[in-house]
Amino acid sequence: MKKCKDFCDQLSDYLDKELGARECVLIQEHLEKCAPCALIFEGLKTTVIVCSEGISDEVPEEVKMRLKEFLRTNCTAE
Amino acid sequence: MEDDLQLIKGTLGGDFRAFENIVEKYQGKIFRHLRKMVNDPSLAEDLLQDTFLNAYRGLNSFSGASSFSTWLFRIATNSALMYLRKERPETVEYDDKVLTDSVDVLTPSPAFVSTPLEILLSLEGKAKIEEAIDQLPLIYRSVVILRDVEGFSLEEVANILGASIPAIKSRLHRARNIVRETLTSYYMEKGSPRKS
Repeated sequence: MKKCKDFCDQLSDYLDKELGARECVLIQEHLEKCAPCALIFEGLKTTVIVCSEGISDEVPEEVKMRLKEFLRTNCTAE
Repeated sequence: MEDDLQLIKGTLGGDFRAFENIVEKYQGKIFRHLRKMVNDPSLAEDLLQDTFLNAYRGLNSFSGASSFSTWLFRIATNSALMYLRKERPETVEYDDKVLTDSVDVLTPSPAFVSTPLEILLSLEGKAKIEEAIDQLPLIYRSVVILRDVEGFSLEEVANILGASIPAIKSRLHRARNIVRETLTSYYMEKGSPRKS
């Protein structure tokens, strides 16, 4: 009989759709009846969402300018 | 914007503007990746320059076996790892045995998951996410950045980091849970917005 920890160990793969159909059904059934595991799964989903949206990919203008200058000097000289 | 293959062809044909378009397209993602890998914006800038210079020099070796994005991220990752192995070996000398270490699991708390997304993604919330990721050991930080921040597939992450897919899955499982625990702990202390 699987314990909560066994289910929790599969949640990341479950989120990535890396599990087989049978395992997915077992996890879904467990999450429906186990509130703490369901909360952990929601937390994991939220974590992935905030990681994907929360880290800026902005490059400071001065960094962009120095990069452009560096590449013009070093690439075009070759 | 022209697609990558057209820009590569243009660059190889001597059109430097085509290469500048490649740089324009990828500099944000590569800078973010390097900034997170080395936790130092100034060093990340040096590595950003190295990455694009190496990409320019090696462009004719791009075979198209992987996507151009994967190829470019592999160059950036290797630049960062070469630097870290030389200057901060203690940060990269991890192997997957650390995966067997136990993590204290907090009592699941609704405070984090019930916090509205706009608060989680506010200025303060974003700073907390950055902090939670920055605290991860490099072996975990790199998979979270490539998979969850940059959106590469597990296979692409394995390709970029030169690791097996099972190893990447294990690291990702571990890394996501550490970040989740850190954020849960923070929002537990802060208190659920619904209660305040």
